[in-house]
Amino acid sequence: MQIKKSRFPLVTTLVIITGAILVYFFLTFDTSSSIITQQVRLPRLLLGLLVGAILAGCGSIYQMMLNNPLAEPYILGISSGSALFATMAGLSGMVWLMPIAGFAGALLAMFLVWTIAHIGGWRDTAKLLLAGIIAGMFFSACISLLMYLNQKEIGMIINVLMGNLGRVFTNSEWQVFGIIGIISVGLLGYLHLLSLKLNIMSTGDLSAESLGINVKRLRLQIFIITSLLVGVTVSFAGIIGFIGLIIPHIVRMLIGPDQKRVYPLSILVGAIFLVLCDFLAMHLAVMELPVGIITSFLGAPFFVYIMVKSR
Amino acid sequence: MKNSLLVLLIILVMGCSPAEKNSTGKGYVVISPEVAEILAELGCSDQIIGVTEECTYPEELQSKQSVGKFGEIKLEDIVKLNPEIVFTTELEQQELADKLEKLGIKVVRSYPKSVSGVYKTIITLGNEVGKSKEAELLVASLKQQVAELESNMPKRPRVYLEIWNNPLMSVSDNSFVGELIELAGGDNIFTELERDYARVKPEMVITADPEIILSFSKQTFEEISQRKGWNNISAVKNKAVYNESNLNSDHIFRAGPRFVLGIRDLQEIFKSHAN
Repeated sequence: MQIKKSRFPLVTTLVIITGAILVYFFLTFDTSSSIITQQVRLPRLLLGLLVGAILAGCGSIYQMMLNNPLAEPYILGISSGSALFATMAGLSGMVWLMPIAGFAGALLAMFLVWTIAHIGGWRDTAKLLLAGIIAGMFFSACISLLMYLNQKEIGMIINVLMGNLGRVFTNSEWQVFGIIGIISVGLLGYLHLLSLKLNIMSTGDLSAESLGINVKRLRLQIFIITSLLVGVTVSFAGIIGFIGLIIPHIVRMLIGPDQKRVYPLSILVGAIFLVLCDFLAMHLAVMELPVGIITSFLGAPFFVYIMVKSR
Repeated sequence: MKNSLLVLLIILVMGCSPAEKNSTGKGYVVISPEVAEILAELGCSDQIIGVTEECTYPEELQSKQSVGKFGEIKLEDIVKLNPEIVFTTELEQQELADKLEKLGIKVVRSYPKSVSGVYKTIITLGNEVGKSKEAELLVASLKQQVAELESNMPKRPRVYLEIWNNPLMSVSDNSFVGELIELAGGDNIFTELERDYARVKPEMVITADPEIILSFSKQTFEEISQRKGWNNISAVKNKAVYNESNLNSDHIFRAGPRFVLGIRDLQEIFKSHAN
């Protein structure tokens, strides 16, 4: 444990160096036009970094808060609610409304899950988990129904469900994204301040309360902030699986379980890993592939490798 | 008594056998808008008894009974009409066509993917409905119109056709509309793609610098010109962006007899920016 802890500076430095090289390639690969670098690739890079950071960061928090190694940002149904509303907006012809509708869907799902989880008392994270999974299944069924009824628009729906960082921003959309991005980074920073409390909470609600932590309030706070952040990612990039589940585990295998370190490093690794996957999604095949497929293809074997190595 | 009951049961079951050929059917049900246009052009409008909500051209089809939307056809409504032949497309209607055949209804599938495919389909359909002569005349007339349009080709402008904006999707020369662009004298910037309709990267569009943009992604010129980096594209600078409001999408996306109008529409656009 001590050895792992002392690896933190080394691992962080390595990740930052890799990230810098990757960013350089991402921006300049196969083009010499500054318009393309600045106007097309840079927005895509920033979107990828933000989404990867949010997913991995929230994943590490959910795994601690719900005390479940299988927890990930999409497990509480927020993403399905968001995807459902974005899809409905797209199907009704209001394509420009999709990000806003996606965000509204996330808020609605969040409210629903929290309410269901607290019918008849709140002292049970398992109930929150179950409520989230059930709500998620319900929303997924709605999406399946929409897919079945609107087979002509299936490409658009698949795009939401499989993730896509290649959205073409208009200037005004880009300004909105800039504001949302800054707020998101602020919220990610605030979540870091809660990390110490999460360490204590992982020892159990009762012992955490005996140390003066208002567990219910903390959980609600985290739940609202993470839901907002996940809503942002689904609104702008659809559902990109695997990152939120795997990256925190990889980070823990490398530097140990201390959430104060796991959280910032997860954010860093998540951001860079997603940009790497997006880079491959763009250039691996002639046709651009959905980035969600690459994250799983690349993440699964890498995860096994780390798991075997770290024993 | 028991035996006679058994015999009765067997007769009943046999009577329900779905493979029995239904020979009493009359009239046609058409659930592919482009086939509907071809049949109407061949003079079969009177025999058509059922259509989809998308079969809006020619006008006389709009008064026919609807059997659902293109993607959600109601099988029972078709069976109720007791048609002689059902005309379908392929792809998403494949499954429905199979079901209809199992019910003993005759199905004719056509899915023209090119101009020559439209000619072939017209001949095939003409044979099915006993209008071979009309079909041959129609094909000859279409061929002549295409030849006339081809003969006055202007300078070839670079054309980008967008069918969806998130993700960006365009068409290759192999697609039907891609062929029409080339016939009309335009130069589709995506000559080859992995599929006829495929994802493209915004940077490819910016690099190719199209002189004309045809957009069917429900976006206005303002929205397209606002895209980051797109204000440098010639078509955006010259406001040569067309969409559903000034270009009839049915003319260029439906592989029916009106494709010659599509070529003409495109050619007018190309000419107006030729200078």
